[in-house]
Amino acid sequence: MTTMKAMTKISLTIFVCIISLVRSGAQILTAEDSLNAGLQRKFLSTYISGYGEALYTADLQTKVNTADLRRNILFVGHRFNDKIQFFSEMELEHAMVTSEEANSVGGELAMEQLFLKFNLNKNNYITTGLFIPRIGIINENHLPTTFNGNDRHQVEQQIIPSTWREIGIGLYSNVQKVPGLNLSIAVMNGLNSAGFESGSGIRKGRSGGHRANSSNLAITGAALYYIKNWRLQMSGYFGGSAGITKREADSLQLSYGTFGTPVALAEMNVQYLSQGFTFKALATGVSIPDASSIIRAYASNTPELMAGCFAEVGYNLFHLSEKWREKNLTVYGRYEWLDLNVKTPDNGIINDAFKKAYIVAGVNYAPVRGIALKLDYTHRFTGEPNPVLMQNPFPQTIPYYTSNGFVNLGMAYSF
Amino acid sequence: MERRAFIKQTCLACGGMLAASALLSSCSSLPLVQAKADQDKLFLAKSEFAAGNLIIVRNNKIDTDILVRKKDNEFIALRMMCTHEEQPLTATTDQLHCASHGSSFDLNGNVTREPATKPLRKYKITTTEEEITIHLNQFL
Repeated sequence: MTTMKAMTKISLTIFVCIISLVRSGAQILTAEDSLNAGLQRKFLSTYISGYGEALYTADLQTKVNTADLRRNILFVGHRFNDKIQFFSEMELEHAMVTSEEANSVGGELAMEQLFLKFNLNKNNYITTGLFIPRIGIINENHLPTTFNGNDRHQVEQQIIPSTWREIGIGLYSNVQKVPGLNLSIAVMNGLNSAGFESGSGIRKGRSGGHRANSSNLAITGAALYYIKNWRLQMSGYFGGSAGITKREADSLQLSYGTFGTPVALAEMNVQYLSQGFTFKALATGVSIPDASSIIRAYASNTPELMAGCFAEVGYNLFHLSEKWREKNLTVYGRYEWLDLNVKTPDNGIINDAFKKAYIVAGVNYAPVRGIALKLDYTHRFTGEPNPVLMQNPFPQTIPYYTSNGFVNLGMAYSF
Repeated sequence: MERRAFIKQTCLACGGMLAASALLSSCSSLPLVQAKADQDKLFLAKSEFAAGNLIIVRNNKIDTDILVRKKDNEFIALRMMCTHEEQPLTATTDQLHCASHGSSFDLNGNVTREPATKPLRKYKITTTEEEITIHLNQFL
């Protein structure tokens, strides 16, 4: 009943928002409108595109080098009419799902996005299906040709579990009364705390659209503001993580309901681009107030609080060249800090190996738009692992390096 | 963090950002002009540029706004729709941005940040002594 009431309230709120936006928005186009002629793409059109990346990594401590076709994505979209569009991204990670090769670890074939987009008017639209909410930078803008370095920002992998997609409905609005301001709000299925793991935060609690428990829900919202060459954003997420029956929840002593066993995430970021100079910075934190109950239920050593931040500066050396304006040669440096167990409940165990810092420096070369050749050096610092958590005692223990360097060479494309 | 506290803090933060945005926009927003339309043309008085060189032109019958820029007595009309996935753009005094996937364009329509790879479309413009005409069916 609690779930039903909450869903009814949320649905009513969204409905009222939509009606308000439609009423305040621009006149809806009709195909017969002569002004519309020639301004739209052909109404019924299907389009295909894609992106992907491959990577060679040299681990300077273990001397083990790896090569991986990290991902290939096939994008298929369809325009039903000028108001309704379909978007989908199918992702194949690590070149194959299964292999006959010895010691092979399977990749993943998954839908990264699959949603319908309904344009309410020129400034407002709704998405519904499996979509990526506006949280952080990489989550929405994850094409490998758009960020520096071969790896996505570590903070946005380990704290914000990009790419984070769930099934739900979202409303996006370009606020006309405040030029530059864009707002979004979405309701999605919540996380599953049974998947939370020590060292990977909430990452394995995502459903990715795969048979999600949707008895628990989540609300996420973002405010994005553009001014001059700056992009400022803040976003939040709040949702339940116990999408199980009341009987199961009672048995596991987890709080039950739409927002039971909650997870909260807050994030803000800033980006700057001008005259070939780029700057970006992000800070985020995740709070799991019922971590103690989750540990008791699943023995997962879930933290109460995780946090991270990073800052990056870059400069395009080709910026001043008229001849090479379509090319890009960016040198950059980035510092990242994150702690996957800032605060741990009394029944949890602190592990200093989850306190991490990364220094990344490298160069990206784009011979044409849509292609990036990347070379970077990444140095990772961590604390000492807690020996209590080691499952394989000496001498079987794999050596752990609290300071380790990686040389990464990669290629990326997007078309 | 309790749910009530989180919601309260998030609302306060969003309210603060909205207030800051409104304050900032008062010194940075571009003028929005409702242009007259006739068939496949929009008409704009040159006097609209008295206060600045950038104007967002709107007519409720077309699917996107148009950024008109005056530069050395020449005019450029940019279709404010991202060339990546046809999402509407947000214009500032320095660039145009796509909120959906992060593309940016300079005031000549050139890509400054991917994933967009193609420049913005430019409408053909003709001028008289007093008026600018944007030809909606003709691109440069």
